[in-house]
Amino acid sequence: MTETIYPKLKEREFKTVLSNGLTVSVIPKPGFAKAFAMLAVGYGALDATFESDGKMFAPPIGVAHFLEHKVFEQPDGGNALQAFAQTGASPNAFTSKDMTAYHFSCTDHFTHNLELLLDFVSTPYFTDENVAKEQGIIAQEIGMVNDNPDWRVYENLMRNMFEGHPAADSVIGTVESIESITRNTLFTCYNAFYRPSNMILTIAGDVSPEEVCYAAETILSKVYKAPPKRQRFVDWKGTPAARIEEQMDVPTPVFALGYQVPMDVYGPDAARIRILADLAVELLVGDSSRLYAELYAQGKINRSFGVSPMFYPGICSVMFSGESRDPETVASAVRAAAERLMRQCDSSEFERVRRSLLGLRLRAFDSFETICREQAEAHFYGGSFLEFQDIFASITCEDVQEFLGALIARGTDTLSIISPKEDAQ
Amino acid sequence: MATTEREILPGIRLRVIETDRFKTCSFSAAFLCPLDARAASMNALVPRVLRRGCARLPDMTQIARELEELYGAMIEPFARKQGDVQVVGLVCDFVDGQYAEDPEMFKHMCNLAAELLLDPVLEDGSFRREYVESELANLLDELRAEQNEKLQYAYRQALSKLFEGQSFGVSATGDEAQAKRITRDSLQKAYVRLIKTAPLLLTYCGSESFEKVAEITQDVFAPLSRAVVNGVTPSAPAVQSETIECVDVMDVNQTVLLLGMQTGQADRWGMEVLAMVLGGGTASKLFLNVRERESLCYYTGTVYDRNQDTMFLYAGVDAAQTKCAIEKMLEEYRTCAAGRITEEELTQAKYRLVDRLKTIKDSPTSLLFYWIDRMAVGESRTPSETARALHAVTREQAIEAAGACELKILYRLTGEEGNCGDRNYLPETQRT
Repeated sequence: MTETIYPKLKEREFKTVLSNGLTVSVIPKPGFAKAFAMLAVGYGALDATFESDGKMFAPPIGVAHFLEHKVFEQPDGGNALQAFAQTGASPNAFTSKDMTAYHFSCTDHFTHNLELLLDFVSTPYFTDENVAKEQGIIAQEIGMVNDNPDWRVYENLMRNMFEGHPAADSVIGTVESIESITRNTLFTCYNAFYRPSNMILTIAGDVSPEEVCYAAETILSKVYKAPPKRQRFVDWKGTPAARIEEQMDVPTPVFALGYQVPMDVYGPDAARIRILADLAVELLVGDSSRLYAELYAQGKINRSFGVSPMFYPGICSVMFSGESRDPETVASAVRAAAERLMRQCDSSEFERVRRSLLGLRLRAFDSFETICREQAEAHFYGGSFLEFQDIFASITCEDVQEFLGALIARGTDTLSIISPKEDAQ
Repeated sequence: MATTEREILPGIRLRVIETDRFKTCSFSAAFLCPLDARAASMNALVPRVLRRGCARLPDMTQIARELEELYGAMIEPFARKQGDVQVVGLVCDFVDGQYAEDPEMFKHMCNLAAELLLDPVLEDGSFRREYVESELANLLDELRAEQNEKLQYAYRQALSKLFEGQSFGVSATGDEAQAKRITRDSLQKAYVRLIKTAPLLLTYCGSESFEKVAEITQDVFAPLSRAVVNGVTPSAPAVQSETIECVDVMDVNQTVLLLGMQTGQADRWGMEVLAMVLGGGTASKLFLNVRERESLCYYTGTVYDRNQDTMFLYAGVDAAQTKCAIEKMLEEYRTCAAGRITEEELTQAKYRLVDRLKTIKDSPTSLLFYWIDRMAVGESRTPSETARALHAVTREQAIEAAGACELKILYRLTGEEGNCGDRNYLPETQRT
């Protein structure tokens, strides 16, 4: 086990790869009552096609998320969620575009809860009956998210921006797609992806790294199996739709504006590209930017306005979103501001934004959930959440200008709008 | 972790949670006022307008630049409610001085918060018109957009109907009708009323000592000298005489159900445990039976509010399953009232509650708001003391608490036809 000390951060990390291929990362937090553990599997909605028994297999949309629900079921008929409850621990799970993560936080009985986590994730129990039951529950989850305009505007954006790429598909699937999921589908996906070599265990808390490794070695499979081969769509070149609009029962239009640029966001440069994207969008539309001030003063945006870079194999994408009665003007202003910034980047402004993002990154280390999630994501893209100070220092104004230039060069922005129903206006 | 509270100036109380375990410090300056339907939106708007600028930094861009210089510090307006008490003010998060290599970080942030609160940008002796207009427009947009989050919207609607005409039914940011009446002059008067007569709570969580924080805040808030400070005392809500059924129709796929109970004289600690047994997370009766056994919903649970003596049972269900879901949810509640709470369920619920309280001590923001909420209603129990009180709850206390609850509202947000006052889904025993 390797110990790395980050003196400026006042943090340490113990890290190792076990013989079964599992990566373990422990960030000790002496003196804290809470401990947080996350077992993340490199399997998400983007893994739409993969190799199983020598053949490429494309299961129904939404299967990674469905699997996340079902992995909690236990052979004794119980559910792992209830086992955690016996000690007051708070378990949960989520599925994103590129990973499925199971996690818990607790203030007592950490080792017991860790053993539960490792045990239930490595003990699949799928029956026709429990699959049918979950179809009902997930159909209700789909009903819930479809009533949320923020979700719908995002889903519509993705569908139109990434046609032909799995990023276009909803993580949760559709009522129709989940109906075609069977126990065999689940076993095929589970066996392909739920391998220690395709997982990372990240922990933040006042815990013993040695005990963590012992539990993982004892409970998880001892056999090394390589991660599955999957179609990465790195060469995807789609033509995004320019505009998509849907009406819902909303008082003010909700919009999402997406740009994308081909870029290798996995591998050695991944951490740098992600920090560069954060810096670029903050300079472009952050609270101190000219664009933000102008749009806010004109009443074109309100405090719901936000921006988030998103990363998929071969693609970096940026989404600007919020509420606006005039999303088209916001979209034009974003493009004009990016062009302005490409021509001139004020170095003092850049330094100020860099300092600000460094401060935010430092403060993120007070959230155990953030540490574990970011460290798991970093593992899958090939970086480390703890290594950022030198990267921040290495990025220049010119790098930001180059990034923004690439982002808007293709002219491939997509505007998704949820507008109020006409009969309600 | 030392926690100290003292009145540092007339009507200004300071609570300091001294700890060096975090990289983040939190600080808040908030006024207390009675929650009132006519004033809630106005009070909530005041800190939003103040956040737009002060004499030294008269616009948002200049404030944003200063915050960026302060290592990405954050300062935001907020409005909360605790029962019939409204809390409005500013909250700051910033990097602890030792990580920012600036030992005066707290002093900078405290100064900025005080400048925003006490030295606003004025035009003809009143708030700048542009700021009032745009923040009022934003508040109205926000109030209208509440309907986008269906469960929260349904909960607010249900509360307003249960407590119609009472301040307990008012939301922390008021409502659209009242907000529309706000003028620049009325807002200015509300601001003057707050700074002249409302109690001010200052709360800090970070590595500075009480003495240092007191010295800085006393100096910075000294201009806020007040002759009279109006005390704010929380009260108990009136118990509704009958059970009502309400429906809001909206274009939605899923029906949100809320079954609202008044808990009356029920023991507060027993209620906390009961709400957890019944609907607190994945080991609760509602989750295990209404979701897992019956597959009726994706989410279901309870929300207990000790400051307004209510417990709501909620679920998102297919409209066609409404009747069945209501029956199953009430069945789980009746099971508790009939004494069918096992020792295992009780222990697990208490573990979970205690776990949450211990976790509060591991987050500066959670600690800050824990204390703001307690100070707002004049409580002084630490998280550890609260945990001990919950740990001592007996099975009998939880059962007795269940027995004291009375169903008072059945609320639906649905895509189906319906009118408030219809009595289609109330159980027979509740119909009058």
